[in-house]
Amino acid sequence: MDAKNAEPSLKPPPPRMSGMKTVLRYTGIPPSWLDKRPKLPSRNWLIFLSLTSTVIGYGVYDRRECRRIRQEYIEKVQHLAEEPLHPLDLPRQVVVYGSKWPGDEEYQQAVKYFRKYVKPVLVAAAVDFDMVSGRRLGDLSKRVAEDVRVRRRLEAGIDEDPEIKKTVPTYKPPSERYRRELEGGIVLVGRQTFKEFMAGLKNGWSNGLEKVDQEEELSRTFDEDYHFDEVDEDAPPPSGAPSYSPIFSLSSQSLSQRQAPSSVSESTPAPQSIPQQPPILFVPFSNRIGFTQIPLMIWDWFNQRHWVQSGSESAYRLVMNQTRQINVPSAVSSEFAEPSDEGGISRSATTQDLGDLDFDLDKERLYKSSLSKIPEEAEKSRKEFYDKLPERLATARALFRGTREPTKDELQNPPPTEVELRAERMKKELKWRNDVNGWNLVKPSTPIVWDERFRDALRVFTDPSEF
Amino acid sequence: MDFSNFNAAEQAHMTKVIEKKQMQDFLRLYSNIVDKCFNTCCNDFTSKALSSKEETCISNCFDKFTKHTERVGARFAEANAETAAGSK
Repeated sequence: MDAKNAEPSLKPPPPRMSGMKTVLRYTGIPPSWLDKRPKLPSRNWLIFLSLTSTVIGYGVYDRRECRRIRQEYIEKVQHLAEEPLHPLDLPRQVVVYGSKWPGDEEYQQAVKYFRKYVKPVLVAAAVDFDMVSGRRLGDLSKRVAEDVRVRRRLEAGIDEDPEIKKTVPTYKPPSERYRRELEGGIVLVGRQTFKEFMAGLKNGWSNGLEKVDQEEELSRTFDEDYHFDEVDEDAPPPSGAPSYSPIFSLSSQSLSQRQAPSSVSESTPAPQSIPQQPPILFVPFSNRIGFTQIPLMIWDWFNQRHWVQSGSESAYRLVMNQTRQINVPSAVSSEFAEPSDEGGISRSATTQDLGDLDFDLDKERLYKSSLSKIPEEAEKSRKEFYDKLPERLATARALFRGTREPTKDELQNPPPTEVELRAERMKKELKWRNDVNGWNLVKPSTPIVWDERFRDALRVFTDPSEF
Repeated sequence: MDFSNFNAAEQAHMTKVIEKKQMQDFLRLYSNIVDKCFNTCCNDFTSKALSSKEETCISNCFDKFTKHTERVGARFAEANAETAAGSK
């Protein structure tokens, strides 16, 4: 201290320090940093950061909203799961139908939508569910019709539950099972499911009680066909027997009706009134297919909160269990007695409001336009197959009967035998018919099948009035 | 399962064997319950006596266990019947 006072030279007064610097200078921060002026990053960095932070921020916001909405609905219903239940009792059970969205190879998209957006609320409310999906178009309607047929047989007393099921301690007789079903419900995910379901329901309640095996019927039709006949060189080919081309005839109902007169031994008429069905929950569902839809798919991915909202709301409606009669104007039944697929009645022509039958109508816009070519494509492949068939058949028969020795190629890759050809034809015919019938069921120009008997039998879940 | 051995003496033997197995199973179940309920309910060894809280815990544990077994048994029987009816 004394040595310093003795120095003659004057140092400039130390610079005045203010604010943060007085404190921060004792931390390890290099002092030059404390003098620098804060400035924005460069223009390019700014662009990059703003773009990425907008995108990421919107995504994060969307997912947080999803979580919040889901949590909100879960909290509304979770008190229902705390109620005690006797060990041998069963909780409320619903059946979820999700058929294939036309054009999508992934047939489970509807069921996945249910699992992701509707299921959490059902799980929180302890409502049990059975998920049923249809692998191809038209599968679900066949299954529903089969279930109805089995039920009709049980109720008519023709069939009985197998003995072994009666030995189970929790066995319930059919009447009680159906009563329990009524307390449950049916969930339909998407308009395509609704169409298939109604068609299946109508078929089930209108057709006979005999089991109709499609393969047997087809084989009967094929026997009358000329394709596998022996070719006589001299005789002219039969001109009046065209290959059975059901594309431009009505749906599979006509097929079963044609066989009905021969197979009905017990001529039970269709019941006049249908027993009360479990209430139906409509879950709106859409699926975008196609390359041009990809930007919209990305936008949907950023906006999943809307789906969470609609899915959870539907689940809440199901859980709260308030139902109303189905609302369909009475003029419907006369117009839509038979689904016509010759483009006669197209949806745009009738401007009538069909009440509940209009569920999710706007989503049908999303069907790919190439789907309308399904009947033509089936017809084309059928023609191709039948054109090539005589030659393959001739080879098969020649090799089988030994009229000709197999060539080297044929030894290595043996061509199909006649049995295999028949099997192949059966498989292909089944596929073509199922595809075409399924598409005819679901395409936009087919209205939803409606029967007057449904009016009293169907109920719909509605929004609960009190919150 | 029993009546594939037609001999009466064999049947008696089989019934004894089955009885023994059932007894063993029963005792195993009992020790299982005791073990689980003890592990969950009694965590405080500062006193020798069982407190009333632990009493209620034990009775609840036992009740829930038996109800649970009942329910699992019912589901199992249903599933068995389903597969048997399906395969027939």
